[in-house]
Amino acid sequence: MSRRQPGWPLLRQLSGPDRLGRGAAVASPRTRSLRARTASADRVVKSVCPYCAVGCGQNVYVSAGRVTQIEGDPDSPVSRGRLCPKGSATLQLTTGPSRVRQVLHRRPHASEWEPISLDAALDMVADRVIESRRKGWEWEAGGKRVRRSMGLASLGGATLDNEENYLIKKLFSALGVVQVENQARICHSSTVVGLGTSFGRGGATTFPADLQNADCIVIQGSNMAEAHPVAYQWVVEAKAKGAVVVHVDPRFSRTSALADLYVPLRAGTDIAFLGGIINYVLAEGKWFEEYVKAYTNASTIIREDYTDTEDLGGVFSGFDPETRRYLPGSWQYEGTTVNAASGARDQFHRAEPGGEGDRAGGASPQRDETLQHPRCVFQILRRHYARYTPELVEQVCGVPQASFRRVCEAVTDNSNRERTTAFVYAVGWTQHTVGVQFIRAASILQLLLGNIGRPGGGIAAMRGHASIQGSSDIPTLFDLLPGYIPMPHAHRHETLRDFVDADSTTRGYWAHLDAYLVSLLKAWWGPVAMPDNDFCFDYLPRITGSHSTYDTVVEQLEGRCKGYFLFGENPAVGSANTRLQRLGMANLDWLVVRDFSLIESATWWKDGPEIESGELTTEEIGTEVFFFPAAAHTEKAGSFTNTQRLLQWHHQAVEPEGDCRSDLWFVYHLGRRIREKLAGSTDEMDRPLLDLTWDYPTEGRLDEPVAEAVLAEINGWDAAGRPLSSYTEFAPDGSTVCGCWIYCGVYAGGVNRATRRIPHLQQDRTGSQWGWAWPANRRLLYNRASADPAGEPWSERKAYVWWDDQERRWVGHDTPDFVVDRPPDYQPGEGSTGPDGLSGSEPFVVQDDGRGWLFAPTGVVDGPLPTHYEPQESPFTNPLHVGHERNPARRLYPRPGNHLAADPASPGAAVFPYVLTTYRLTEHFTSGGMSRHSPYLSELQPALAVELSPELAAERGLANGGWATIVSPRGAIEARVLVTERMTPLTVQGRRVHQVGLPYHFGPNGLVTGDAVNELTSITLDPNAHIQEVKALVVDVRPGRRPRGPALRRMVEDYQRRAGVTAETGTAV
Amino acid sequence: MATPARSLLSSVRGAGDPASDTGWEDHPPRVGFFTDTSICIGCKACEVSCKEWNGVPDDGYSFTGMSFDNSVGLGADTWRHVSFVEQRGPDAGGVRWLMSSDVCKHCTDAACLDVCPTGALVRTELGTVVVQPDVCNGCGYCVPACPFGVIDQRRGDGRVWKCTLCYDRLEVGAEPACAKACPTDSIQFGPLEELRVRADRRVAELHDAGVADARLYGRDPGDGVGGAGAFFLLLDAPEVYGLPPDPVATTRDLASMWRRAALAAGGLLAGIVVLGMGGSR
Amino acid sequence: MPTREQVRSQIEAGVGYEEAGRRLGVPAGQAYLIATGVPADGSGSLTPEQLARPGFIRGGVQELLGVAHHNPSEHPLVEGFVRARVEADEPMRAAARARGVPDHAR
Repeated sequence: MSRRQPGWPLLRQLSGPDRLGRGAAVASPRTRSLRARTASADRVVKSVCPYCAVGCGQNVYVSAGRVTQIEGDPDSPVSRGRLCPKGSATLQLTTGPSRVRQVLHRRPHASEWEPISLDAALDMVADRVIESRRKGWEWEAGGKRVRRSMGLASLGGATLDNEENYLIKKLFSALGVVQVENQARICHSSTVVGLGTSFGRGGATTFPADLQNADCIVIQGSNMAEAHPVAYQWVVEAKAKGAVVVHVDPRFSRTSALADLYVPLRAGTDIAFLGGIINYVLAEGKWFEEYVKAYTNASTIIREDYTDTEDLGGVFSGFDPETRRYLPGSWQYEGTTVNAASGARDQFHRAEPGGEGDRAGGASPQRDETLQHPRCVFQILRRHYARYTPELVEQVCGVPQASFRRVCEAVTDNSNRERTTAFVYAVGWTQHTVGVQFIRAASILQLLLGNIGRPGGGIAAMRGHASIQGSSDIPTLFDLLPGYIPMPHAHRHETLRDFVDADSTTRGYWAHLDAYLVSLLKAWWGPVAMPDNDFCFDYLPRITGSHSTYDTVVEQLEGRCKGYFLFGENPAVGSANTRLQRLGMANLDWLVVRDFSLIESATWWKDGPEIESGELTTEEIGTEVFFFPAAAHTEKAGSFTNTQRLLQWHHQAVEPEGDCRSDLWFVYHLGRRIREKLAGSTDEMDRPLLDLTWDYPTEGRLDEPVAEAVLAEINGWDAAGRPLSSYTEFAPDGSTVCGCWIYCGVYAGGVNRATRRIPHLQQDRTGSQWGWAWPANRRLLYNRASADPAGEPWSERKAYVWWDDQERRWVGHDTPDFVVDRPPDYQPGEGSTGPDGLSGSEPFVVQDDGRGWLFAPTGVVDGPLPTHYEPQESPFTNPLHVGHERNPARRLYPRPGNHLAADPASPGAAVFPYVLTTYRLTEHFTSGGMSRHSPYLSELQPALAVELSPELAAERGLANGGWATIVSPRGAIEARVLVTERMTPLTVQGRRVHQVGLPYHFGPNGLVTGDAVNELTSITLDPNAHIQEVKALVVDVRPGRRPRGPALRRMVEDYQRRAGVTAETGTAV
Repeated sequence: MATPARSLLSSVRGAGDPASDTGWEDHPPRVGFFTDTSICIGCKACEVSCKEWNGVPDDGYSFTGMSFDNSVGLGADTWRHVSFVEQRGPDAGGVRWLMSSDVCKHCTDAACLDVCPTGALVRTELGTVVVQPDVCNGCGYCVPACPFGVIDQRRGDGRVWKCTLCYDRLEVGAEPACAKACPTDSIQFGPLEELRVRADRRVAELHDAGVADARLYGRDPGDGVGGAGAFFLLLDAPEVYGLPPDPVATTRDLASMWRRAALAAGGLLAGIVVLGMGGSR
Repeated sequence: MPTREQVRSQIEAGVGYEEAGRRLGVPAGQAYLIATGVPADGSGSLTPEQLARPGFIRGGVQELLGVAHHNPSEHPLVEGFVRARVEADEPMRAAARARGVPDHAR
């Protein structure tokens, strides 16, 4: 208790207990009355971090109309109140000096920006859209009806709210624009196909907090501690309980520093590594027999005409070397045809070549429960991986056999009834020409070990942006409609019925594709969508192949795509082959950039690398550019979906300042203006746009659309206007509306469940009462598999969901991922369809056969099983498949500026002797737009630095702290040198190989700058996901800074000459 | 009161309760930090959250080439600093990467506090040491006094600045910013007594798991600064992390030094008197 | 600032932290921190001892910092919006009638 003290410190000192004047006597009135500014705030607004996909809770404090502090929300079960350096810098991001608040306009050929009013700019953009759309319009392509425009495109959405992505996809589809993409393409598109075909849903099967229940965690293709620091707390918790943590990575990173076992491996060889573990598991009999027999398609018999890569020298049956595509029919099940839940589904119409013929009445797959039949999946798997011995792993991956065996033992010792192992991966797996197959390999392994659907097991696909899961679910992606419904391909005659028949499954939840699609069409076209017009199915533009962001760049380079929107994405730094990205943009009529600061993709015409090198001059670039400053997440309301499929709402704390507006505002009002300008049009082309439901309520002085109204449409309602609770309530007759079927339930009861915030200490370990996860708030997917076929947990220790015979329902720690009252012994009747077509012990309820797919009979276009192929650019030949070194089905884009390295056996290979892998640092975020303009983050990692071993430094004369130039067949950049023993040379096929590493965050704009690493990378894609291979390529490293001006391209050309690189190099099948 | 007299009386060391020793009669238990560097992931959330909360300016953008450490050390504009030490080791992969978040130690025997002539540095009721920027006159005496080199003057401002253990947050019961942000709970905040118990347990756990090098730094109340209010679990010798191996409060010996000086002065005076008396014949 | 014992005796007497703080002349959150050793907005992993400590509250204590939370779960304009959409969609309501489910709000 304080007593009355004399005013003068000296008197207090002499008369009080603090004789030496070091404490109570000298505390000033200011010190005594100091109070945290957060405690005196007017209110604290619940929000979510806008950076990565962990989705840490944020508290946003507002005083006198300003945000004064942003820090963690301690009640969150996701983060427990913690934030990484980026989340901790959110105050500076949103309130700091580098935000632009004025709309800027660059006239064609101008050398400077001019300020312009928001109203005028929006109007001009509306005019540009109308014009480019008209110019690029095509009713038909290749004799098939497409009803679309290739004249404009859109990129961006992973940092946007779900509601914003929804409106972008809705509006642009109604405009006939198919080229709609976002960061998900270049980040985790492989996951959608890899996990989706294996298990049924293309997202993480578990949630990071569940890692605390794992007995072993394998982190591979991920730098989790650096890219997802707050999620890493759960790995630390697991370790504290005795779990073994294994990190397999080309580079010893901050994740490796805390691992029990670190295994360096050659970038791009993970299939060989995982295949080696699969072989070990099968050879040593370590597979979880009961689980594999009951829950996977191990016993399913495959068609007779299936031939494996082992028997065809590196290709599967069905390969057409002309088109470089597989016709997948020969991989199908014997005696029936099943459809995939993800991946390639609508490409081949039934009646067309490659089509799978009439559906065989949905007959049940033929099985051999003894797993002995030579054509059963189990035996095919065994033969396929027989050569993946520890010796092979050593040869290909550079991993010593002893280390490899330690990993095998750690994983198998911890995978059984009592123990589970989890895998964590990210873009180290997705960003390869065989990215989908990397993920499939892990999926096969986890199914064999019986880890899927069990606590402490599963596969945690760690995504990278605040709502990139959302921008895949409600996709601003060319090949998908909301809820992973495929975007329809152009076919000769395709009715709604045709589409549904071709793409739905017989059994499982995809059997109701018609209900999901009709409900979506009703959401978009309301009263105009009726049974007799196929619910406006014809209004959807059709795709005719790949319209990925990389194909769009080609369209721009070739002059067909004239307009481009960038919604918070920065391809001039973040996409592969940034030079081609900018040259493409230089060919546009107009470009709209929406972001916080002037990112590289907004200013390349003024000060980009081509201006510096002289390749282009500003005056000759005719692209008209609009920069619209964007509102931050604190200035708008909406939902993010994080990497564990969890929707969390962030509320508006303050209004945006100046010209800043949310993307919701922008898209809604742009759409309104375009509709106004085209009102009364009699052109059939405009019907989808004019018939579109586009009437959201707005509020406030800025006429901000009400995001909750958009969420309500995404959730759906019935004919009485009641929000729907579940997709089981849908009907295909047009009586239900729903914008995204997998999100149905988020607004059940008219309550925004994404706002739920029950503190984690008041809940159990799944934290189900915080936010809302799809589907139906399930946190751990396929959790039926946590119980045995009889419904009993495999062990008490790993009990999660089980059958309660008293209550006649499934109960446990999570929402059962199963029909809740379906008994374990249920057998489907003859000809049963939908979920009723699956038995009581088939946990993968979205799959056509209810099973986890060891073998993917369809859906994956480059093979039903992963096999090791070398990366496009590699110093090594493929010892497994001579003649088919690389993925024969990979997508190549041969053109100037995208040349590829010489084959490893050719003399020119020595010109680029080192393997480059790219990655993230924890201090920066993606292309730097949200970190290199913030002082607190910029000072932590102020320079682009190449990490390399002391041996390589000695070999090339490089000094720590000095400069190096890194050259690829496409470009050359400079970086500071960081010599470190964390980069270890490996021995592969008897030869030493050096790997070097570069973080990809840098670009020429901001407080800290550097060359973009993507100047080095090529556009070479995985054929399923259209994702680029940036995790393994070849380079040379030399001391000193790079040349400036025209000398830069001359250096690259000189290297190409010496390496013998031509347009044909590297393009062989 | 002039400095020498205060220093003389600083020989009166209390019973290790720094808040009571400095006149806080009713006060809560002493609080501090326990930083378990064995679970530090080197993310620097501590550096950023501290700066955001306290409005500490950025330190300039210069690449050091010192592993991932571009902050270099504690100072007026860096109150939490993460060190990175790469070593060859017996551990997995043959490489070990030590990461550790350094901070002001809030010493029990705080030399900076002892030497401050203006009362700018103050011991709070919670046992922490805080600079009062409204009192500090920038004399800089405290700067060489700190055995860890923590406290420093801010360029262009002149005053000294350092970690306040988020005194303003503690006043409302909120956690210090760095401890709250730390993703792995490497930085733990709480009553010092509790933290010491927890730390002892953690070291024993690590020793049982075969991590023989694990040790505590600043935990011992018998050390040269009387035990630190912010102490650490290290995985190697302190000097490996850039920490002084045996820090001593630079004012520790002042009392005995002044006693001896007083004796010497007394002896000198006595000698002069004797000589003076003997010289008048 | 009060001692731990001073705060705890208030809490044991059945007085909540807001009132205890008022009586002791300190913010409620600080009273909580002093009594339990755990901050009102703490993010630390909690030991079993901390969880079992008298006066410890399981989650939701950040309200003791005294700032009003803004987290509405409904918006007044949504219901009207949905109703207008449904009313304008006669084919939808006809399909509902045909299926025997409600076609208008009660």
